[in-house]
Amino acid sequence: MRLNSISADLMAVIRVPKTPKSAYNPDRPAGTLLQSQLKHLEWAVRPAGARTAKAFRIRQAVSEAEAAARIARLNEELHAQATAPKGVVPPAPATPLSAPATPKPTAKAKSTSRSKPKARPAAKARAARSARRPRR
Amino acid sequence: MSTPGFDKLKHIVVLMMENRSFDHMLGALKATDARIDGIDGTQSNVDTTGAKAPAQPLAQYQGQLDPDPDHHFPGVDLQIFNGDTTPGRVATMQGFVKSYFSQRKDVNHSRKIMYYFPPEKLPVLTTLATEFAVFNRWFASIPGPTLCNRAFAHYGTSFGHVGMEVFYPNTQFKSIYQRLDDAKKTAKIYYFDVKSSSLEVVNLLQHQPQFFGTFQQFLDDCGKGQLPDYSFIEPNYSDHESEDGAAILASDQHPDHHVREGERFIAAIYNAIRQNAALWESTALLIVYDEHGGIYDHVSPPACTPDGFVAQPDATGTGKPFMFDRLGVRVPAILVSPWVARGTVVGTDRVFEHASIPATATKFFLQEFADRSPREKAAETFLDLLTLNTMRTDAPEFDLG
Repeated sequence: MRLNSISADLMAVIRVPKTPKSAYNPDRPAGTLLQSQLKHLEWAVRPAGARTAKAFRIRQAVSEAEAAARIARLNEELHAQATAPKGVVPPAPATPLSAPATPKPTAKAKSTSRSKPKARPAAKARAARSARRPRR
Repeated sequence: MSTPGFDKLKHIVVLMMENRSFDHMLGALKATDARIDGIDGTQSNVDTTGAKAPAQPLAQYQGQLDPDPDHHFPGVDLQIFNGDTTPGRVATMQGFVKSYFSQRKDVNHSRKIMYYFPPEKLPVLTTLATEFAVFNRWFASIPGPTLCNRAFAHYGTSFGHVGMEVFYPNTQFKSIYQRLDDAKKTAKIYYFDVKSSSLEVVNLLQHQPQFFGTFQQFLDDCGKGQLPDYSFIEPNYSDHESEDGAAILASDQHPDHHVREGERFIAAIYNAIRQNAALWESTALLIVYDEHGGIYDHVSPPACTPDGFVAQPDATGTGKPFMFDRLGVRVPAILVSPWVARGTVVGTDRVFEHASIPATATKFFLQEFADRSPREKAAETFLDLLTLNTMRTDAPEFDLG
């Protein structure tokens, strides 16, 4: 497909190949980024009173597909809460949560959690990739 | 400042990708343009056997950087300073292979952290870099992971955070979206879809969902000429099925997601703007990466204006506090506009970081806004790169098939 020309002085069109179907792997283990995103969303949907000072625990997503499904649910829930009439209390959390302390915006601000890199189980990922037929 | 391109400008669009360093993506361009501070064949690390591990053009789209290279604060500290913790330490960029080795204990695998892409493997990114403006000195805001770095793009600060924590329930500084909204300007974060959502969650998505849209809405807004004044686009962060069961590939380029899908995503955004003539002449598109993802770059991050916050040793994981007084590792950054001269290379004398994003948007749309972080106030802005007196008509096109 060529763009609609907006001038007569165009460069040659650069073709960008399609990504191979084999790249698709929804069973790939969910990495640190997705786990953190889930944690943020889980925190955000909770009523303020359910966010205590201690670090909270949520069940980690096993795969990217699982993370995506949970993120979609939480995303929709957040939108619903944000657009709900004032005074509507969101449902209680399914699992107990608490949030890490918030650093004060001063010279002594402090972060309480220490993130560590999490290696993805490569062998498991490869096995899952080969087991799953791309549907793209 | 007044140039025809600046006078025509109505929209700023920012696309922030994931976890790739400048040398990894654009370093090979030095071979064809010596002004670009990339790989010249002399760059290397030493592996754990003492052998030289050179930077080589052997990067692959997928399957090479597994496990995900460490890019959390202690790991990046090792990559930059090679384990030196003395007060007068120097950033040598000699600890990348050592850091990657620590994850899999495989010497040969650890050397792959030095690999970079030959330009022909990244036709979109390298074409845009050579056809428009490429920045020689755009750094991550923090030598740490995604979320604190992305915070700088939204708020001009991370409020003292250097990690992936849930944060910002009590923000001291307004987001760029709130600032613009208060001034009756329009601003939006376009995340890919509901299954990918946004990485800027706690404050904005929770309280101000009006600032969000999906990538499809971005495409629609481009087509209808209804793009907001300021747009921030997030790629797809996971492989997942769409609502109708189609396979959707992650497009963020985060290892180990396929890099080509990110190329296609960048091209799709460029095409969407390019296809609308009125939008094309009035839009500046910035393509930038949030951080280096643990992948090698040869440029030592410089000192910067302290942010007024301190991350304590338990947060940094290095046993030392961090004063937010130096930047993270260099990342790719490209400014696209028909008012940017072909082959613009922003010199090494100008240092940019993610606080440059709200700084630029604020300067352009609001002119002044006092209550901003020290880092943002000190940050370079980039719209002076729209230098041309006549709009270009030779912009490239991408065929996505």
